[in-house]
Amino acid sequence: MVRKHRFVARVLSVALMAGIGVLQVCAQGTVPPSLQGSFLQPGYITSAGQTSDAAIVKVLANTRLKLGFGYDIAAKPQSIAGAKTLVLVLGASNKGLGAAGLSLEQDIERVKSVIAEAQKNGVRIISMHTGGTARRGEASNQVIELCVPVSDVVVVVEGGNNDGFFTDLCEKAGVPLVEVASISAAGNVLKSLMAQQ
Amino acid sequence: MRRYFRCFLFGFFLIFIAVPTFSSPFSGAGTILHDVRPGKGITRVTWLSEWSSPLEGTPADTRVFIADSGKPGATVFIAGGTHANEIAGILSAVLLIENAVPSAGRLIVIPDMNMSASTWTESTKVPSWVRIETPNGPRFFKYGARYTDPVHQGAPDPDRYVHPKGGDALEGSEARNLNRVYPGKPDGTLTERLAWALMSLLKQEGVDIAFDLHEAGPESRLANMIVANPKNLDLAALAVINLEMDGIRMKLEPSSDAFHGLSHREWGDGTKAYAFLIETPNPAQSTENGNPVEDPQYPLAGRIATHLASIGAILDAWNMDCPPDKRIEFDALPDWRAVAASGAGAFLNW
Repeated sequence: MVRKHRFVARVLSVALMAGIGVLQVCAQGTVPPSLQGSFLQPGYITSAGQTSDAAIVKVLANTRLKLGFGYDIAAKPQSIAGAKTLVLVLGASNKGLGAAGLSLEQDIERVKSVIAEAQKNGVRIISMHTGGTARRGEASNQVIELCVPVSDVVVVVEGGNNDGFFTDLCEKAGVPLVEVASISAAGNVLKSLMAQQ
Repeated sequence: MRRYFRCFLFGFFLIFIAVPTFSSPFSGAGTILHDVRPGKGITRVTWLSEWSSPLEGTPADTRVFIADSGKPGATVFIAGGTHANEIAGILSAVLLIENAVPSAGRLIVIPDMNMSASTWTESTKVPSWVRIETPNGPRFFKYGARYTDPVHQGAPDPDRYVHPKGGDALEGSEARNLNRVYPGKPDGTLTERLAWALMSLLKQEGVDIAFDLHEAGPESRLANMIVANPKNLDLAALAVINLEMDGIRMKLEPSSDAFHGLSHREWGDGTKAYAFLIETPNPAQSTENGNPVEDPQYPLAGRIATHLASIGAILDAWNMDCPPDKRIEFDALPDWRAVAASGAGAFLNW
């Protein structure tokens, strides 16, 4: 009898642990209801740090999801005229900076001016990090620290937040953080954030 | 009698000494005839010197395998063995030659791009040959060097190598690195003549999409990366997204504006081709004791699968957006999942 109770208790505890696991997986990638459909078109994508991940997000948003966002990897404040949502793709790339003819400091100044323009015009900001561990490091952290606190939501693909860097920054700034398992899942989050047209 | 003897001596000299000495050697003379067994898709085998005669008879001339569907479509070019120690690229190209059958468009493959680099091995710690088991017995593939053999180059290495278009001064040995000297010169060093010949092929054949298959040490920034000419970066981006959905994570980088001589930069800038370079992680390129075939984390079959999947994803992205008469389609293609599961040997002809 005692053995039977022990067996039932074990089965229940395994089921409970599995249930908790499922809940955690469900929580991952979930967009807070208050943010769903709350970002308005037109949207505009640029990089912060000249990462080529910006091109991936552009293709994800425009080719796959047909969101029709504007895009310039090195957008200037005037580029976002008329936009209601700004998507900042985070990550520093030496190759990208070289191709744009910019130093990291110059690109940070560019991003600051774009953010200032967005804030002046009430443009809401989505920050995305899709490059995983390869797009982390001292230079990338500088642009992440610049962009996360001014964002309305941050979307990070698995690997990019292994050290909890985004979690800490988002908690301090009170910015919702959505972690996802893949780039295509990040696309689904982006789509759910945008208002239906 | 003496007259007959003189005639005999003259004939002997003519046949066995004068003719072989002063006539042109055969294409590819002095290099290795790699074991490539074309499948039913291959319609023609020729030499790269067909597109640039200064390469003829040199140790850098190399075989070109063409699979022509006979129907309109894109012309796709694939190079393995730019660096002859990057074995997954070579085997991927061989698997395509032995299995691919296009049904629209044309496939041109050079599995051993730098034949001179195939003739030597830079380290005694890496194998000179790679053995691949097939259902019918083993086959062997040359594990060569990164650079053209200095004996073949025809010029000593400079103290520092600077590309004619400018850029950083590199180690002098980089003058023998095929992937630093594009577009090359018709009258330059052997490596420059090889680069020039390939540029001539890309232009004269109207290649639409071109791949250069490489490997890098697993810790390298380049490992598991697609590098794309800026004009075709979006195509590569779409491929990266689709590959991730198949469980293959590839990074993406555009060609540098400042770093000249690389295939993805110069092929894309100098011809109409959309140019891509694909890198997989080869353990033998990071440590002297790395095994290029049977490493548990980075087995050769998995790396070949990554190359084939990346090529497939880019061609799928191309087909999504190209004019109907520019599609590339295949009746048969080695399936990357099956290669990863069963090994390359299951797809090698016997």
